[in-house]
Amino acid sequence: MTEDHPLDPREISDLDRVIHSPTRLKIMLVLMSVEEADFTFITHATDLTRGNLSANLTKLEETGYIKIEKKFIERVPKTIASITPAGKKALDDYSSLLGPILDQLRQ
Amino acid sequence: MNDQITEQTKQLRKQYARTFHNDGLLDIFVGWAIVSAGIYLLTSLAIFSFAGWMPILLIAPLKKRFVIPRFGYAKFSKPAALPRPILIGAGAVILIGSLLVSVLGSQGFRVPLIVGLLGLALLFALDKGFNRVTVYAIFIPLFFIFGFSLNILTPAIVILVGGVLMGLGIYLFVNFLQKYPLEHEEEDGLS
Repeated sequence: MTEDHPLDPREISDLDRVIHSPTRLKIMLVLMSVEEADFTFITHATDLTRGNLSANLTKLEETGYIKIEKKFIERVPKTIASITPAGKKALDDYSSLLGPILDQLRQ
Repeated sequence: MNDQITEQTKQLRKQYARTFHNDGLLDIFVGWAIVSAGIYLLTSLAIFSFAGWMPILLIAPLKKRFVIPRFGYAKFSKPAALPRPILIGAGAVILIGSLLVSVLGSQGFRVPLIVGLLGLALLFALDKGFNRVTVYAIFIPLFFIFGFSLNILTPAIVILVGGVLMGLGIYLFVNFLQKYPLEHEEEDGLS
């Protein structure tokens, strides 16, 4: 979607709806910037309520974009989330598709 | 990886690092180190030349006790802002240089050693993107160097400056505890 490739509104339908949700996009960006993080960290980093975060983490885990594990950190049990290679690819694809659309709209 | 995402995640990492270090603990300990230096100047009691730096060993346990349970745990895979070998090399040059100046110089060992240690703090700050440490790492050596050179460094001034930093640290620490109350992770609803 550059000057050679004009904006085709139909391509918007190809956007990944799991990531397109602002809530899940926030979570994905946070997890993209760390190797792994616990539930408390993600809550603060996204400003989401615990219930909302929990529901969206489950959705992302079901899609295979993130991995959730129970780990002991300093002998304390923690819920640890990390992004999977499939999640990184999905975020990359999403950005590659949305970026040019936004560029086109700015022109 | 897409450039925009890479840049975005880099900014987020810096922001998290800043928040994590905004708990005031470092300010309290740096302030205490300066207060101790002031008391040492005043009393010449050798214990205060050690008492100032020793509590810095408590930072890691206190972070585990107060900061991580509140702010949360995250593991960063961030590459250093400067390549690690350059940082290690620069650190070694600063440390060895300051020790050599200490041994060969005529002004005693304290000032060059302080400058060397704070130079290391500056490298740490550059590595972590932690701005307040950078300020301290620049301000404190200048404070001591100019203070000693101009012969204006009275114990009272040193204690006052340290006290102000400790006060700032306590203020930040209380703010941090209020902003991030302790929550129980069992309530996350994830199996």
